[in-house]
Amino acid sequence: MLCLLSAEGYKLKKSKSFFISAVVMTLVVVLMYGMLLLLDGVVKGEIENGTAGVIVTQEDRQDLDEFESGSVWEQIGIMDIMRQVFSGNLASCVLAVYVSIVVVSEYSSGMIKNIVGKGNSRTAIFMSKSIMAVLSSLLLLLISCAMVLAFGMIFIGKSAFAGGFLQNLMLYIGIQMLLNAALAALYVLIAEVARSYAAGISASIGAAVFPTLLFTGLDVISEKYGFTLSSYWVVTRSESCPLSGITADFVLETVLVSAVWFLISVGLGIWHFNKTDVK
Amino acid sequence: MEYVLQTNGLTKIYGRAKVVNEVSMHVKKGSIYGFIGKNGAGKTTFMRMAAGLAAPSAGSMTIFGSSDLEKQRMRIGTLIENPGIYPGMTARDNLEVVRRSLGITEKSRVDEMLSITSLSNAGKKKVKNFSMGMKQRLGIAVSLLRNPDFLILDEPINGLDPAGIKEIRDLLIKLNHEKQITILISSHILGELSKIATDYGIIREGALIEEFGAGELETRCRRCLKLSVEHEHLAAGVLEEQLGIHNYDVPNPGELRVFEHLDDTAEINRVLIQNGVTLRESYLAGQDLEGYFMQLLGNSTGKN
Repeated sequence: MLCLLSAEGYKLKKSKSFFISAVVMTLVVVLMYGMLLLLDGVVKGEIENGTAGVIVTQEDRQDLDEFESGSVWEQIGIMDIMRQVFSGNLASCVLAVYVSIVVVSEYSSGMIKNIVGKGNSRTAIFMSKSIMAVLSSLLLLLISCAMVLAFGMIFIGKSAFAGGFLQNLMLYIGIQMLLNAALAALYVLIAEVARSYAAGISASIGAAVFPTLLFTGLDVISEKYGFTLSSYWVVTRSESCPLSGITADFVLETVLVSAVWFLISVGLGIWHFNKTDVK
Repeated sequence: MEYVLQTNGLTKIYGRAKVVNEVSMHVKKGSIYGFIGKNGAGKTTFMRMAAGLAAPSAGSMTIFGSSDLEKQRMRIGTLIENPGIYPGMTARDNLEVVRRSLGITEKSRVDEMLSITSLSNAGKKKVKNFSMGMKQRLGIAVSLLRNPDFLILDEPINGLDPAGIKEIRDLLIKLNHEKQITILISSHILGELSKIATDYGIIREGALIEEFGAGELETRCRRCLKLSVEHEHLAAGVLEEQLGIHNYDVPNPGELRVFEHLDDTAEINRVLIQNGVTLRESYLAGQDLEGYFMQLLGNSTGKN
């Protein structure tokens, strides 16, 4: 198992898809800040309303007037941008593409044939790939978080880090990491079953989006029985995670939800990989 | 006889199709076993089962005489279908990934393999820029990384130019002679295969129809006078006593193959008839290896 993890680590070091995904995540963060900068300019009358599609309505202006300086940066904090990274389907889509490429490339290149049947158990092979795909996915998310913080420091300043910010941030990121680890494990399962780039990527994105809609719809029924079904789906839970005032119950429930989805995904993946021929 | 690979009724079924049908193969230690069959005959599926990439639907096998296949497969190197390599990585990186995956501690093995396969100068070049021959050689380098005792190579000379084919051929002969590596190799280039193989197995529609050695193949393809007679013992006596012919055999009752005096077949026929032999048929036979293989594979283009 250790030798397999060492090989996976070496591949990650040489992986273009990891670095490209990291650049994409960074660019999106930059784009978010860029849009806010543009918005701030429009509000202050420095840039014409409607530039680059940024339109500020009278209602928006009234909301901003409540603040002393009338600056967008006073209404939007770092945590709001952090939420956009995790809850705006950005993270789930980038991870879906990244994990699918990493897993499917084993089959498309044929590299898997050099490893299966050479003394390592199939369970160990699948586990090593899952572990590395999940860890590298989390690393991608951490890079995004670092970018949000770095640009936040530049645009908002030190005031953004005041009060209980750091505690809320750590808790929020911790919860998102847990939920996204489970999601990445699910993507590994989908890519292992699909074994083709197109099918793997589209099915993974579908898996992130469609259950959210389905479970939210089913909430109408489940709420009659006293529970919200969608809160047990990792993507919905990630979107609904509060930015502050996170309770111990919410944390515990999140740990359980993540663990269950993670174990189901890895378990099914191991079962499928063990029973299926390698072509 | 010591066998490196021995299968017993090995079968693979996909849906309703029996892709490999009760194949009982015997690969002798130290041999180069040429595995011959048309496209879709079941060669690759059989090799994938032997390599542990696919599970058999029925049948059994032993590797190095043992049924503990997981353990014994550590002594096998494989190149099945295309070389399993990352095109975006260099040759050295590809070998490094496999070295680590297989838990090989000697880092020098990577350089050693690049050297054996004449890829030392291309170690830093990305594989996507490699020629077909270089990719095949890298595939063989990967399969040799753990110093195997048995190599399973599926079409390793596919798509290579004559120079590339010769390189691979020389490499395989060297590995077989110098390192005593047993090789199971499939190829469509039958003439090429006949230059290295010591044993052959013919697979047709999933079934192994015949296994024979290179010596037997030579005999079968040798130019001869085929005689169909009523009493083969009488004919044999005439050949030896009247014509002084000793280089002949009796493959089947009533059938003789004469391998000498082939420039005077009329005289042989005349003497046989004069001595009371009922001669039903007499003709010169013999074909090139490729023609013989094609005949075995069920192709009507075999030359006589």
